Amino acid sequence: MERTQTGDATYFHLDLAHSGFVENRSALLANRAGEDYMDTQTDPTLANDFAELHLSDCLTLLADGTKLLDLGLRHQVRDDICITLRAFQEAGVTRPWQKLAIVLSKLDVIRANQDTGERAARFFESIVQDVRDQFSQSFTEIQSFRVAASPSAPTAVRGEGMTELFAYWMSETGRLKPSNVPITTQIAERAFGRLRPVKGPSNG
Amino acid sequence: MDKQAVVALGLPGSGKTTFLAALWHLITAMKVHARLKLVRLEAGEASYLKEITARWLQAKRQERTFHSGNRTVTLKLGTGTDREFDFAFPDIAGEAFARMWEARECDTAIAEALEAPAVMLFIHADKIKAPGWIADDVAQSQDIGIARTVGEQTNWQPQFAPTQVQLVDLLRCLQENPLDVGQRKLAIVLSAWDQVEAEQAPPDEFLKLHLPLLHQYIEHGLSDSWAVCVFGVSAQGAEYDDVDSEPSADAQRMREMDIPSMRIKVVVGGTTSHDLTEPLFWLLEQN
Repeated sequence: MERTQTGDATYFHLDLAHSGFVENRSALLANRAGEDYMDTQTDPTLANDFAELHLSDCLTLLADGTKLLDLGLRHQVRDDICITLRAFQEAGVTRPWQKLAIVLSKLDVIRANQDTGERAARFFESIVQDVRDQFSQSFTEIQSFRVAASPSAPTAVRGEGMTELFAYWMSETGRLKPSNVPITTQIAERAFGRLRPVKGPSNG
Repeated sequence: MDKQAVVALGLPGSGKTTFLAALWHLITAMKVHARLKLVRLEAGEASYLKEITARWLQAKRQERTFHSGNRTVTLKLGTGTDREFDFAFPDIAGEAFARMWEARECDTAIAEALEAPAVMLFIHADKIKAPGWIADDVAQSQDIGIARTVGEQTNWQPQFAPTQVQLVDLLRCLQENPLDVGQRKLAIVLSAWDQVEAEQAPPDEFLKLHLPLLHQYIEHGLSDSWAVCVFGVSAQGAEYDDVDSEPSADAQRMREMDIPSMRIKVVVGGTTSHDLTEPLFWLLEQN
């Protein structure tokens, strides 16, 4: 798959339907180069230019399964996830009604490595726990997912785990919704208090 | 927010950059207890910090600062209660300090950094160049069967001087114009502590045993207004791999640790912890 170029993001609009939900959902997906998000680690103010961050109902962060198999690189994955989230938080682009999904990608590669795959999966869970420890106050909920979007090994079905992730994206948002507030008029106890000014032309 | 400048002194390869890399990981990961916390991610030379920390995480040796250039890293640190600091830490190549000894000169920028009231002196505990004795040298040559030419002259060069001689001169320079600023705090960091801890000597004692001249100078040569504390610091936990080399068992052992901050060991007096902010906390602590 071709790498996403740095620079402006591309937005994709999807209308999603699911048998378990009454309403369809419109999803707006932002495709921006990972490097652009990573740059916020060294300059958190850059996150202010990424409109999708404060507009989204669900922030989704991917942890590369291949890197988690590497004993050295796995620590970098944890740092990248936690420091990027901290940069978003410090830039003030996260919202307390947002959900956060941490997604283990390339599940097929994890399963294909019998020796180290189990350890990588455990390490991913420890990353999720770290994110919960540090950011549970900043999001309504934090969930983890495991996906094989485009497997290269026969150890996972193409698109495995994506249904659960889509369902999460489609689930009820935590966003505050406007509602009608009935107007109530308090009636004064004394008759004098119930008098209203008379509107009309002035005699003056 | 208070401004606090710390200057890190040390001869080439004494562990200043590794200390900085491990410190950045420790305070961003927050996996072990630390006396100082990172207040905000915003940092001076943040890209450099990210780069050296990535190498540290992968248990790879740092590129020499001599090649990558001097930089001043600034961090926003706090005690977690009410005190916050803008903390400046110049990562200066050890060659600059070696040049002070050898050529008796230094750049203006380095001279300015040396005016900081808080000083960290890095000494690689396992690479101390001890004074050489002619009698020992002759005996060693005989033992290994090397013939010695009598009368051959070798001109003395300043870089031949033992580690402790060079360090004593550095400290002496800090007490003379134009670098004398009066009262200072000096944290002596014996780096690569994991390589020498088998000796089971606490850091103070180690200094006395292996660097007696420096120890004596610290005891009696420094101004009474200076405060000194000796720390044994292992910022790596073990020897790391070169960038292109095959993985070694020691470095692999470090990579296998699920919490990289636990590679760090700081020994002061009789206490041991993973808290690399200990020397900084001591330096920034109000008297």
